[in-house]
Amino acid sequence: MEQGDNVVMCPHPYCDEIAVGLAALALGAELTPEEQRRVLTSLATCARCRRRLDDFAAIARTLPLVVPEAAPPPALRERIVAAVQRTAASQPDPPPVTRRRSARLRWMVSRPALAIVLALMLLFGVAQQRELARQQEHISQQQAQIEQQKTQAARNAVIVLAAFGNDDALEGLLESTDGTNQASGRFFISPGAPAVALYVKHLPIPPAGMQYQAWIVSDGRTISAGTFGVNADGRAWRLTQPTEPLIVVERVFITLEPQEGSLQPSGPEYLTGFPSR
Amino acid sequence: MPSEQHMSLQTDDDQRLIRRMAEGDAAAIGLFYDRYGQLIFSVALRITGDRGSAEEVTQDVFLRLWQHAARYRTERGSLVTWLLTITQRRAIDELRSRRGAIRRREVELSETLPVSPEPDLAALLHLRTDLQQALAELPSAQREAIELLFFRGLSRQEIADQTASPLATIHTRLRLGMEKLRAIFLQHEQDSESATG
Ligand SMILES: [Zn+2]
Repeated sequence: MEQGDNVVMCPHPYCDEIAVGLAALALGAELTPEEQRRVLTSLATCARCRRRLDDFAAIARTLPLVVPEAAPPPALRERIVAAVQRTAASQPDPPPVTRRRSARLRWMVSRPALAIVLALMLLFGVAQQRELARQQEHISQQQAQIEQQKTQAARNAVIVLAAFGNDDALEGLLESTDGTNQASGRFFISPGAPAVALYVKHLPIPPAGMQYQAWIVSDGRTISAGTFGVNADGRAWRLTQPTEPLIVVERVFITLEPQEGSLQPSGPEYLTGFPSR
Repeated sequence: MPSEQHMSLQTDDDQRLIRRMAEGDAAAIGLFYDRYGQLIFSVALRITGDRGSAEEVTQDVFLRLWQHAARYRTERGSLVTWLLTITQRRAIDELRSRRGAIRRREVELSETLPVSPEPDLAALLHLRTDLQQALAELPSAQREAIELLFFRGLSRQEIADQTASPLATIHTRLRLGMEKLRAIFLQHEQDSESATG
């Protein structure tokens, strides 16, 4: 148990309200978009909420232990061994080659940050995990691609941790630039690292050949934070590590650009936001 | 459910069996089944409510373990909670697909992301007793809300409908119930810490 977390005051007046979302999340329920937004915001800023999710998740992992005892039919053992023998011809997966990197990642991760990664995995990681699992079925041809995705997943985790977990992290809301669209979003930026985590929703599906691109105005210059598409609901998560340091973040905005991205913003602007602290 | 003596077998043995599975030794899965089959089956039966589905879920979980054996991280801590989590999710999926719910979750656990260290088996057994007791002591409406969500896979709105309670009441029950379990859990953690020095 981490000493000190207990005395951190929750900056949110609605910490107890957030606990409902944390309990639901840990027990496997789906959160509404509004709950997702509030849960992630609290996890990014409140040590008490992080501790709570961590503990709730640990309870959920052990909760199945309380079920009453029941004896399986004796034949089940043989059936399982036989089923395994049938698949044994196609050998199980080769040993992991990402072990060293993962060990290093674990070393870098602090306990509070685990709660945020856990929440992100629960909320947004399912699709990526499913894709990974599907591709691992065709392991021989696609080994290289899988490795790449694993690297990306590990890198994403590092970016999220940097953007959300640092004391100097900035955050802000994204709002419709001219008030004509329903889109909104949120960003987290770690200027020192530098790392950017961006969440948008209700953006219109871009026309063919076009993508959205995020921009950060820092110290008078406009720096790209990468292009991204959106899903059918107009949602997207974007995690990037800009190559240039973000000295002073003045503004974040999102434009529509050609598929390959632009060096400087050229298309219509959809969302804009300023760091709140 | 495995007996205390049974479950306190060394985790070394688990790791040895996992390594044998990773090397393609099918007999190892049988030995592993002897250790955890009843536990997995019990959880699957509690959730699905029928023996046929419980057998199917149990078989799936062991096949999945077999397929993932090579990627399982030996340094990751308790295998039991890993198995329990897969079983719970797989069984809830079974329930939901039976109810005609559209969405079917893929059961896949994080492989590239670290997880918190788990208590060892002896601590888990102790925790089970404490959790059972804590659940029994919860006001029945709170216990019901947690169980309908976790063991029946109902949404919070479905729980509200089924128990004829406002959604806000269900939220309060979930929160208070989990907080009570958490208090027990933290007490437990503290006890085992002071016990190990
Ligand atoms: Zn809080």
